[in-house]
Amino acid sequence: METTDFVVVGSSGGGGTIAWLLAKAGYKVVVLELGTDWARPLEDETLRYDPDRPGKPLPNEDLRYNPLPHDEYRFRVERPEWKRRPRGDYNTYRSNEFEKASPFGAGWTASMLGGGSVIWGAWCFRALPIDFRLATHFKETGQAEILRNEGYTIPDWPIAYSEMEPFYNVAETLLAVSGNREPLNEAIRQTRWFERFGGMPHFQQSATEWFPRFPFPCPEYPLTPAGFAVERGFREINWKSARLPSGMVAPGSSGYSTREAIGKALDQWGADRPEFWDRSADTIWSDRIRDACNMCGFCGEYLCWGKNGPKSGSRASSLKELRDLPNAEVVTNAKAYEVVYDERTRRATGVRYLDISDPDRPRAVFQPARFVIVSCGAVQSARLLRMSGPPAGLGNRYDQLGRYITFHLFGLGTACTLPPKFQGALHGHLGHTGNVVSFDPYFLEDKETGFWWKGATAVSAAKKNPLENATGAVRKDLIHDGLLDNLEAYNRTMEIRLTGDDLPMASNRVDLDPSHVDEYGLPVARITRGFGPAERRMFKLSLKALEDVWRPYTALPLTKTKSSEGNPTLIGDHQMGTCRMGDDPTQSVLDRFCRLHELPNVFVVDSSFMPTGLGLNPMVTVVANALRVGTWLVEELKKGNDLERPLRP
Amino acid sequence: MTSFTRFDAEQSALLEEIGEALLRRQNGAPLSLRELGAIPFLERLLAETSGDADLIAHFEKVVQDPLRSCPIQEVRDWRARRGLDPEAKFDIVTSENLMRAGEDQPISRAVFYVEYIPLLVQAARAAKKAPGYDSAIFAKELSKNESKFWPSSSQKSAFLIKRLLEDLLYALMGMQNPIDETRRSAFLTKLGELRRVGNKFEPRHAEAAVDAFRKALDEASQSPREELEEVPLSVPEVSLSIGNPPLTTKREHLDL
Repeated sequence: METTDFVVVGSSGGGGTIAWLLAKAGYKVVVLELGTDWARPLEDETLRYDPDRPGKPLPNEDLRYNPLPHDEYRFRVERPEWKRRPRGDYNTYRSNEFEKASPFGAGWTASMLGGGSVIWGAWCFRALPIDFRLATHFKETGQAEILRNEGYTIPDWPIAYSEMEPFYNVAETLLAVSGNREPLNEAIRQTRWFERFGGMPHFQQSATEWFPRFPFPCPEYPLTPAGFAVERGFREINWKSARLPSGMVAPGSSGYSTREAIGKALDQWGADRPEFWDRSADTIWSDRIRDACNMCGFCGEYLCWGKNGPKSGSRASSLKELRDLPNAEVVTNAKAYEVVYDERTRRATGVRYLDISDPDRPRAVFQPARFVIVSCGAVQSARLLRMSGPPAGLGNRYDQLGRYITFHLFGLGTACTLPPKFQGALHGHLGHTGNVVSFDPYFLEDKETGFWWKGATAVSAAKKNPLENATGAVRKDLIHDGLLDNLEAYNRTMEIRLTGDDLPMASNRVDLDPSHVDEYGLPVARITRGFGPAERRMFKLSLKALEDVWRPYTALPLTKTKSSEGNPTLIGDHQMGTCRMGDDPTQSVLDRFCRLHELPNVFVVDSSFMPTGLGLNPMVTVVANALRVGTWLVEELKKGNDLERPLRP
Repeated sequence: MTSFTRFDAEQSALLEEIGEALLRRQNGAPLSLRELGAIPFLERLLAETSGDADLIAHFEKVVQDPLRSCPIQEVRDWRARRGLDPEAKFDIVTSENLMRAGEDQPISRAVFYVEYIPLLVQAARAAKKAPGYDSAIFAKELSKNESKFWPSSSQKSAFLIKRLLEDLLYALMGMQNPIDETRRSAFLTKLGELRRVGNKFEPRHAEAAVDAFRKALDEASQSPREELEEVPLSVPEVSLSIGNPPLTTKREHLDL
């Protein structure tokens, strides 16, 4: 097989984005995607769902995830869930390193062309400048020692927000983010924690870093009743809020030109643009117009059925551009199992994968390449590198590979069910999940100690999936009146969800399970994940406020509220860490350009690179970082720098 | 491969009866599963997933020799060098790679029904001969593995009830029944669920919904408790072109 310049393993926000950039720069690129292209019925008329014969048997099993019938059971309820993981694969889980891990079905982002960027919730946040300086922050506040003693290892990122800023601008154009910058900036500026710390030297970045001036490329997503209700509740407890920035082409618009939006990002960049970006947007992106979101309500976990990509993700943007290029190839159903390492030259030579187009008859294939870019999600990237190279894994000389994984605290939040009179009034079906956000709990004050601890973003959420709820109720043994009451109450319920920043601990990690293997005999990933004191503090410090948000409604008779704590086994979409970047090779896996410290031609560009997890959806940061790394690669190669040289003898 | 064709008349009627009993309020009107095309949908679902039995057979072979398809050369040495156990295990049950009956039995949906339906028929025939037969009580006892009419078997009646109920809810809420659109979404409408395949909205619809919600909140704050218990006669009109009939009152809530 012909040697390619870059082989990119994974096609989501990281892999899909950098693959496009490198191919656009003229390099030969092969993308290996583990899953299939579930969204192809959108483009292949012969696979089109026939609305006159709803529910007709699907032509073949591959169309299990046919986007057109909006099949809630197939997308959200059915297990096994092969849109997230390939047949016969799984992870194991344990809560601490002294336990024996057990197989479980979670811990996967997605296995499909476009990866998690296809089925994500489309919440589009930049990391805040303080997220790059969390170690400094806790040192300044006198909390660093406490956190260290509790088992946390919190580094500053090796790069500053300012290095990411122009790439954030471009990332937001690729993701067609709908939002209104100024209210969002104000919602941050007016938080109590910003008032408390904003004057400290390590907070004082330039104003454009904390409060970007670059307008979101699309107008803000419409307010929904659930968003309205939660916004009112936030005001009740003096939390500022703003409309959630959404990765959707704005409803009601006439469409979206990525090219035009990139042009505006380039204007903002100014004169110091790297060579790749130092040209007209016309030569960077096609004239494709993406359709406006029609607020159909089938978003999270579903494939957007809009043919021209109303919902953002690499499948709707960079991968479409990539497919226009003659020097790029996308291989689906390619299960990578080894980054091939040449001990003599101390470099990678390519990737071995199983072609599982016919999963009963897998075929081993070697794709030689000058550079390998890994982007399989933090769990699977760590697994792949562990299976590669020396016995400890590739890039793992200092036992850092796989460590410090964070998943965000999911499950933590409160819900409010309105009285029966409100049946249907919340219109939870309008648009995607999430509508209003508050940054107030991004740091949470402990009044007893006076310390502020890292928290989360809080987002309003409507209940959108009645069948999933019904199935859950049955599994809780509800029948008769109990079941029907539950089903009826569902659409009158709204939630506040916290995307909690679980802090990195060395003991929370991914390695290879010592005994369990997948269908093809490959060791599965073992996830060790437990909560520490910081996570438990987050529950304690946030729940009271989250319950108080519902005060405007609990005054109504028959209103019910419910609280839930974070659940350590809710592991899936957001996976950060395992290949954290840093300047010290003994404390990190990747350098500041996401290259393995130990190997000059292997990069990792999914959210594995993140030294800390942020308290918000990482997609925009992943896309921006992939643009940053890709841009650096192109620059270095154009300069003639020999990136294939071993870093140390 | 166990392929599924159709339920016979007695089986169909029994599944409808049990389903209607499970989804009925104590003093409520019955839900007509026949009107909603639930059993034909279930039959098609079973036919569609018949191939899962082949996958189970395949996975069971992998369990016997987990490393047989491994592409890594000299995989046992490779595992040893990495400190992995000499014996590899392939898990198909707790890893949720297959549907399960109960905790640990991998099974395809088609095989599951083929195995369990005759037991249900046997139990129902016996129950109906007993005086004072009540389908609601019978269904409830089955759901708790407490029916004295369920044949002595390793197959538990609760597994069947849960599977059946989940599948029937899929039929009622999945909007893929081979029936007209109004009935296809009738159950959802009764629940106040307005999301439909093909829905299209614009910002003005969201704005109208927010206005109506704000108004409803203002009114509710003045309303006595008993008014808040009532399900409204209609919901704010968002788009009638998608076929959302207004909600009915709670009294006839499941009287389809």
